[in-house]
Amino acid sequence: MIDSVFRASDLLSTDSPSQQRSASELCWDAVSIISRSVTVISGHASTSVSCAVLRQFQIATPHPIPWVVLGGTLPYLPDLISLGINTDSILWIKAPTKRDVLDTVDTLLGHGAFPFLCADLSDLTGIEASYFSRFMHRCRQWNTTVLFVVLTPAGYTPSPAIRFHIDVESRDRSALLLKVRRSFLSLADGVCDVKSPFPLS
Amino acid sequence: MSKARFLCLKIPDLEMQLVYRRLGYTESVSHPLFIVEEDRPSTRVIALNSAAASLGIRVGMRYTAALSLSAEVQASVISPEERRLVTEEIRDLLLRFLPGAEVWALQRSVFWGDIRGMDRLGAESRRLYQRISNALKREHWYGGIAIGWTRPGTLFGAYALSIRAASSQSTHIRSFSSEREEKRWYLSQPIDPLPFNGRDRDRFSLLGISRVDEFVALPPESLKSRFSQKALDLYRFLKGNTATVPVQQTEQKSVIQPVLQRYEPPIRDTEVLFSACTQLLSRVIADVQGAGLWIRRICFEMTDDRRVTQTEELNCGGLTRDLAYIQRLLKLRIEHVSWVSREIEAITLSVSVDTPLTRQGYLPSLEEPGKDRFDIDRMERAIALVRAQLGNEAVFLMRSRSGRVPEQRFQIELSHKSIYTPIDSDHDNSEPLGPLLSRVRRLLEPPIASKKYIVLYSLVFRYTQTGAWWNTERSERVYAYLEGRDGVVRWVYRSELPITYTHQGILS
Repeated sequence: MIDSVFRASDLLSTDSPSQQRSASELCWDAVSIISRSVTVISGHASTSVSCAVLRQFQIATPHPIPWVVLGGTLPYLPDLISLGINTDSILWIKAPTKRDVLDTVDTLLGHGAFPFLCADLSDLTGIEASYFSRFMHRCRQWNTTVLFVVLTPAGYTPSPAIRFHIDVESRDRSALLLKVRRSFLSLADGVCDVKSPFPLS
Repeated sequence: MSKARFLCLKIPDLEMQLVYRRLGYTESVSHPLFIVEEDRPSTRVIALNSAAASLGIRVGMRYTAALSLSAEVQASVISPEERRLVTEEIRDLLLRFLPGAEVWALQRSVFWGDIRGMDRLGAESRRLYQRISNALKREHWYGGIAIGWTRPGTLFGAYALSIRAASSQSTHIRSFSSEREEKRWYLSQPIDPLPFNGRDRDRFSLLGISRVDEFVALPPESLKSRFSQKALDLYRFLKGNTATVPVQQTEQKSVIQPVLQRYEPPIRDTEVLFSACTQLLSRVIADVQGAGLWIRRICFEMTDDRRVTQTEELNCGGLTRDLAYIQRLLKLRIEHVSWVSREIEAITLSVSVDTPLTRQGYLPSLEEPGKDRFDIDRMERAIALVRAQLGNEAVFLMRSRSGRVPEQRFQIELSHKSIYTPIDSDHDNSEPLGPLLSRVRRLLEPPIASKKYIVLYSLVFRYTQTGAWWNTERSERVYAYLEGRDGVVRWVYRSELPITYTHQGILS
């Protein structure tokens, strides 16, 4: 039902505040993202949007969720709590490089132990399309959802290879590239799309 | 397998009884006496007799402060090691009569015995319990023994009997007639005998919680946030499935000795290092299999020519004897670790082993195959591979806590031992939709007046928004998407003061 209503093009936002979509619609987007296999969220406030998805997933099931963070930077914990996320059920995995993030996601997906994964990426450049096709295959095998959060401070820099693979070649709607140019959530006390001032070490 | 039956033994004032035995007393003395763990002025009093209490000495007081209250008071030192030996001695005494016995980890003066199948002995079983009592008396111990069906029931039975035992200085035995009676009885008991810390006790008294049924009715979320870990452990013990976990049959001991291998010439290549470690692993796994044990953790200590040791610990993510799996972990670690030394002269391999039976003791109830997609073994193995690749510290849990500066508001816990215990042990996984249904019920109380609504069974989404959002007077609304059995998703919201429900629309 959800796939028939929401397509990737429906989820693209605009820069105009007058065309900003309401929070309720965003939450429906969150539901639709959960039903997909691989989702990449990039742009401004990508962490805020991914938190909305994460929260949606936590409401639905009690499973622990691994969140692979890049480098030593973690999301600001009070912000996550203020967004309604149960941080006790998040298993943080610190990967030093982008390649380690992808390898870790591959390992976790290979075992099919987690129905939902969240991973940070610095950018999407230089990632082979074979990685994503492998992820999509494994997601379908284990019925898993993977959410990649691109931590670029601004802009939207998807890899042409990935876009080609997801949107053109396979024509597979189980993968979704969600561009978010502005935050849909309150930025007053729920901001977590900036890098945390709290270092791990 | 027959239904679990338990014998619970509580030794009252274990430390005091130990001191009396050591000093040659077999009866209570009127001399004021207290016990400390170390012979240091700053150490704290851990136990005392009534004569010392009448002088104003209390548990937790400093050694020197307690001594200064009276010239007649005596102090005795009992080290933790001595206490451990004594508890093992009592457990071994129970093992002379019963097939299984163990010490309760939350209170070292409580012991459990496995008495499954003893009912077939009839009157002989009562004689057996009397023989246990006599054996305790010969060793100058006294306590309360309760026989029943559940751990909490027998625990509170033993608590009640131990009070009588302390006054009469003899062992008392009680047997529950039925499981139902046992449960009804212990739920009405006070929580005072449970080993809470002082702060938890104060909070319970402030909240007016004094009985077991009131304690187990508390929501686990509030316990996590307001009380100590020990209170949470006791809550899980009383409410969890530990009541049916069988008593450990044999004491878990590491019988696998560390293996040391020296290399001449020294190892300079990671390939050679991998094959050397594999050879050691093969030897150790053969020993482990021969002992009927399973490997939980593996530790490699590599010493170079400058006597510098580099330690690499691999957590297997569950119990295993699979050489290929451990080799995979080892290979990932060797490939990703940075080596301090270039020439390794010796490798010491030590393993932490476990018996599969003890695994039942700490696994939460969610491990029920076929119930859900959540497979804890697969999860542990996946995490073990990630740890082998990125290091043990790469996987952690993060908690918030109260603190003034931002850095103090976090607590990072390495999840070496178990990554699932804090996550979900309070969650009833037997019904995946249970929590959702309870939310729906709370949301829709009182029920919607409109007869158009059908019975709702799943909550799709819910959130709260203030009135400023739609530019009207400020009010709190709870929005929900509710999916009915007919497959139609409805958008409703509830307004507070007065509580009204509004049907917003149907989503297609």
